[in-house]
Amino acid sequence: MGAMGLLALSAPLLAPADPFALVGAALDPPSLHHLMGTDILGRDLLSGVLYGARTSLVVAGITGALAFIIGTGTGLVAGYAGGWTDDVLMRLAEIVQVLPRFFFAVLAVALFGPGLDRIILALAITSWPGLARVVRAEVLALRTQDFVRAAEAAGASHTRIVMRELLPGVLSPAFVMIGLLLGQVLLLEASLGFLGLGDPNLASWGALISQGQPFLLVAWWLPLFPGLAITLTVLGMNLLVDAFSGSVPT
Amino acid sequence: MMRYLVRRLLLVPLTVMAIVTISFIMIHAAPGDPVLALAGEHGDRAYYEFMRERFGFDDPLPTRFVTYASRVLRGDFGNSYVQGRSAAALIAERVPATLLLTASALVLGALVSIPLGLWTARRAGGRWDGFVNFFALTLYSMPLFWVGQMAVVVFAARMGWLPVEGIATAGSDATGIHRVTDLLQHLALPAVVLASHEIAVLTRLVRSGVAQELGRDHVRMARASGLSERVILLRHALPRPMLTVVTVVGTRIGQLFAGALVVEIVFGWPGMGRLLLSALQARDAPILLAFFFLVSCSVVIANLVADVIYAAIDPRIRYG
Amino acid sequence: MVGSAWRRTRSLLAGAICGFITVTGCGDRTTESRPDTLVAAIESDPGQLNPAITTSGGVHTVADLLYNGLVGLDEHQRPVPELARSWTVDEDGRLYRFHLQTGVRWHDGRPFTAADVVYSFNEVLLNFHARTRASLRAVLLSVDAVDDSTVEFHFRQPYSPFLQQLNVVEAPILPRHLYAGRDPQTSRHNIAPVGTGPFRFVSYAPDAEIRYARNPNYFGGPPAIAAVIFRVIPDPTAQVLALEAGQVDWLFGVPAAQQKRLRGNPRVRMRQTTIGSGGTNCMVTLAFNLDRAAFTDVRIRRAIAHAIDRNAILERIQFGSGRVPLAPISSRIPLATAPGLQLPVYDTALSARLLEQAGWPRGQVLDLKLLPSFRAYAELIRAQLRAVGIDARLQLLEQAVFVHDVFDRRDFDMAMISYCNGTDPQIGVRRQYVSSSIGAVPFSNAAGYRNAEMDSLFDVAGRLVEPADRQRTYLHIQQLAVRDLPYIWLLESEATQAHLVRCAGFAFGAHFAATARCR
Repeated sequence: MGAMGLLALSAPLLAPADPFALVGAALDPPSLHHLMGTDILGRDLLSGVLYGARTSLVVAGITGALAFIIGTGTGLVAGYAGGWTDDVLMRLAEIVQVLPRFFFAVLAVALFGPGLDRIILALAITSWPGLARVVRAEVLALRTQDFVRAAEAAGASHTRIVMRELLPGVLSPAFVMIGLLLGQVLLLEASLGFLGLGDPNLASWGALISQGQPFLLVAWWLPLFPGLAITLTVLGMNLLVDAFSGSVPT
Repeated sequence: MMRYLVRRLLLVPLTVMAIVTISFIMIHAAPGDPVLALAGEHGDRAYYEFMRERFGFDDPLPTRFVTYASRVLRGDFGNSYVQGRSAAALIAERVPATLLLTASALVLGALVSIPLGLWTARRAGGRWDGFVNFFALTLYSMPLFWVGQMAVVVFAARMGWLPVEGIATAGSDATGIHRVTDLLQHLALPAVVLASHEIAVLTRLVRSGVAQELGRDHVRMARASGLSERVILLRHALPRPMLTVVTVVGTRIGQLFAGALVVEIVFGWPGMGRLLLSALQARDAPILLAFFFLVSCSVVIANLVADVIYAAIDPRIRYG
Repeated sequence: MVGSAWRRTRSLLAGAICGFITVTGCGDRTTESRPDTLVAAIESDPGQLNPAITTSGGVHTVADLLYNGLVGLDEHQRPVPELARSWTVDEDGRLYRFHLQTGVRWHDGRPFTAADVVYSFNEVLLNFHARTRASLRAVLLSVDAVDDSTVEFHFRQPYSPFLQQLNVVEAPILPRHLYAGRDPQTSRHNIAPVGTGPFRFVSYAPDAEIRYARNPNYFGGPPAIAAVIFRVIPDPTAQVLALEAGQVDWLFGVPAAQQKRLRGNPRVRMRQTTIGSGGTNCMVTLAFNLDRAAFTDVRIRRAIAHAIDRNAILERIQFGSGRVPLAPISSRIPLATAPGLQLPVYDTALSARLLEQAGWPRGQVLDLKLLPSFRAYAELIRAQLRAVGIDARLQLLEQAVFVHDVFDRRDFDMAMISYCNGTDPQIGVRRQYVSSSIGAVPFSNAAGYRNAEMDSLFDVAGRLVEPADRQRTYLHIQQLAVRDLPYIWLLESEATQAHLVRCAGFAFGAHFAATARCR
């Protein structure tokens, strides 16, 4: 996972070519010149995969950050404030949670045109409720603990209690949730690219795979390498989460 | 308990209204002019106005929303712009194929993951446990459409074992058992591909649940009383984890449909996936709205059912 | 609905368990077991089967076999008798009189008469068939049934292209007795159609298959094959696999990438045709938005034309199927043959020089808008333009947004459009160049090209009846277009059809299966 992040960041240095430039013959099988072969227009697939890593990780990273902020924030406020605030926020979370994420994103991109911003927004909007519920449950448990009671008794402000006492306690389950989320977001981004809903001016793994679809029988390398890249990245993410928590991704 | 159920039920209409509103807003805020595309090449101004009027595009937005919401709640989603037929009918025609595929994938997922989960739970911490765990995680990390493509290349194109396309052999007049075997052959690859994520998720769920149960007192006591390992596993260790499985399957309905969509596209399965894709390309608003509404509602219902089952069976859960 | 679905699912699930264990190896899946049936693959479900209310290629591909036009078009696009056995043109091209075949019956047994023709034009085609409506409504005065077997069309002015617009694609004839008095767009006969064509409708399973049977009473002689089955196979690779496996007999289009593979297969024959699902004689075109300051200087447009290697487009995207255009109008329209035109050739050095002379600001980004189906073309052009220092940003738009942006709002720099030239330039080409067709009509004058001389040339061409006169006018038109370069003509596209050798004798055009035989 970390390795993939590094590769993605250094794509412009590592990639042998501009991912959109015509650098070789059409449909050249993998060779020393083009380690992953070339596509139908003669573009270097390795460069496409490296630049595609950047796109995927940008989408996953920003979506994860947004979901973290919204989800943790909502969970903290709901759990700490309780009462009708809690009720309203949790009902909202439940409503958003039933929106099927994939269909929501497909609809948003199809209607508003392809672009990373819409993909990220659509995914983030639908990704926070699970996190919010976990954080809220954690806060409910923490509230009754002595150190929180002590802070309250000492007259600490609400903000201070939430930020200093509660936030650190919910971070670790929150990170596990985000880890699981990132894997799903990577897969969703790939699916959108596969359906032709990605940004055509950025290399993307899903798009590379869908462009390989007509050539499945003549150029096996076109779908193989981008697909492996997705699998390895998501697997890295899931293994990381697994090692830390034993949580089961659903 | 009753209070929880009542509140849970009250939330359903609220959620449904929220779904209608969200989908309606999205479609009407989007750029582009569906009627212009419909009017088509060579269409003139008069034809364009004529089509606009036909589809009621000149009513004010709130009027359209009220009309739409009241019709939707009666199960009427309007006529497809492109095909001119009722959106509900177009979708209903494709429901059985999608249900067949998703149900097969679920059954297959259960058939593989429960034995596999039990098997590894007994070897928790061992080499095979680690291997199966890793395998499940890997399976879960692969995009379904890619698994589908690879299956097409390997099983169908290279080996020619299985049909890779459609639901039945074209023009086949087979009846009875031959028709069923023909269908099963066409179903095999897409169902296995769609089941792969379910297998990954459910195996891990069963494994961790059962492993936990095996450490509990009631299982120890069962062991002490000399019951066979088989009875212990099936009667004492499995039931509670199965509850989690039911809940998780319920919450995964949306993902299952999403998976079915891409798998249907890869394998040309005549379910709702193809319809959604062509509706997306043509911006066929009635179909898109109907679709989003139906998938969302099935998620609401699946969640509700799963929650109720869970609440009814497991008294440990507190409902705050 | 739910009940039956569940019953079906439950019984199938019972079978599924044993099925997964004993799967493989059973049954003959090929079409050879049914020698007199033709199975054809189609990309998508047509949705409905009434060709008179739509110009959708998907509907016409399937539905045209059920219907007839007054005339047919042969391989060279010449009119031949169909529902009309003969015709005369009078009053210098203002009156067309058609004598109908006698004894023709609809598939339900009712007789076909002149009243069906009058109804189809007045109530359906002139309202709902976008092309026929656009070209005829303004010039057609009336359609009259003189008697049961004679129909007259009266025009306001001499109208030369009419015989090209009467085949089953442009003007299919519907049964009046089933449609009259109801909204033809929502008629239940649109999915249970009744026509006069060589095949009659049998069944329709959405997104799966559509079945036809031979019309034993077809006035043109009953087809040799007993049945046609259209099978929905969305993925082009899967279509090729199905053909190789003998599960289908006929593909309407083989993607360029798969042609090499099929060429080596002795069981498969391929043939080229310029009749695609979107229309006939289509030209893939790059349109400049002439309202944009970037393109007011013709040297910029010429520089871009010199930067594009059209041979690479033909070779890498179409694998050699199709041709590089040598003129603005399709070379398959004999009326518009224009030898000796000097279209810009691929020359990056010249391109760079022209850009410099015109003061092209380096680093300026051009928006290139397109439908997703032209993505490969646009990606190749983006790479070629980058080589001379022009940055193109692709915007893939679905059809509703594309036509809104390009034709209505005119918000684009360049756009990729496939202009189907049709069989007569007055119908398919005029709209691309005359100033009156700038505006919110899809696939009209995208460039926003205004030239009074061009406008009057097209008006003249439409009134001329003598072919030699028309040809001279179209040559003049094309010289103007090449001088002003409002568009770059990238490729004359051709579809590659493929079929198994067990079937032969396919006709060109909409009734491809009417003359086929299968062993």
